[in-house]
Amino acid sequence: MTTLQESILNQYRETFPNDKLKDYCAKTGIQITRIHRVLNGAEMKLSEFEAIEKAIQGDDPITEDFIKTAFKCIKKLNSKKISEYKNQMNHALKLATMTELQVQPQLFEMRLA
Amino acid sequence: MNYNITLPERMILESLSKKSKDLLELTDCTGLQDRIVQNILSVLAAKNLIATHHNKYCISEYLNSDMVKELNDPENKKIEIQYVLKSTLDMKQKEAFNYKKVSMNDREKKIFNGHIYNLEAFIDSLDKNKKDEQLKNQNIIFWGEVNYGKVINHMLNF
Repeated sequence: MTTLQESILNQYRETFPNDKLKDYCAKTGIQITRIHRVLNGAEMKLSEFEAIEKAIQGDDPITEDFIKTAFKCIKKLNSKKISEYKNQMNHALKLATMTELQVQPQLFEMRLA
Repeated sequence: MNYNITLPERMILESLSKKSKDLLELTDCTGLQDRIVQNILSVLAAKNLIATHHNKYCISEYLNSDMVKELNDPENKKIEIQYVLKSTLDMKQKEAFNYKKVSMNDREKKIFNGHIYNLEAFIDSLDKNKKDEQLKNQNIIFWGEVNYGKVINHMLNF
């Protein structure tokens, strides 16, 4: 399995952690037997890669545009600027997580002073 | 370690640096929702920045000067300031943020610098007077000026 194939399959699993083979099939349009073989190491076709990528990104044109712009930035901008944008995005992710996650007080460890 | 601390986390640490507090006191001091405070506390605890003592949260005794230096990493602080400015602009309150492009001759520049000096002296005097104010009631003040040509050129140098 190539790194790119592994990466896209991992992204799919992170996006849809509870999907079964039939869900993969429904979302990507790839036959269930073919999904099974790809998940077990058979080389992915480009059309299959694109179908899985589209399933991950969804139909939102904003998402597609964001990813295209990100790739353009990687090609055009210097590493300092890319690092800056990456830090900003990480910051935004942290703020979003702060408002979403529900934490039970007894679950997190506290060190006694 | 790069803590990549966010402003809400910094606010909690700031609150605890004044006095140990329980969840209710932290919520009251910061004005943040209690579930958000709980989330932040779990993150800060995981980073060993806070601890508990007599059922109250406090700054960890292991927080040393090197860790403080990393918490105040200039690159991270720059992102925090950008977020403050963006949030301020998004709030669309006229009194929150104003700016204007102007031309000043030397005399006018001196008058302007005099005003800035007085403003900074006033702001410095405020800091000394009120130590126990609830953080949620504090105000963030912006001031400064920049050369139009320099800032545009700086933008393009990236």
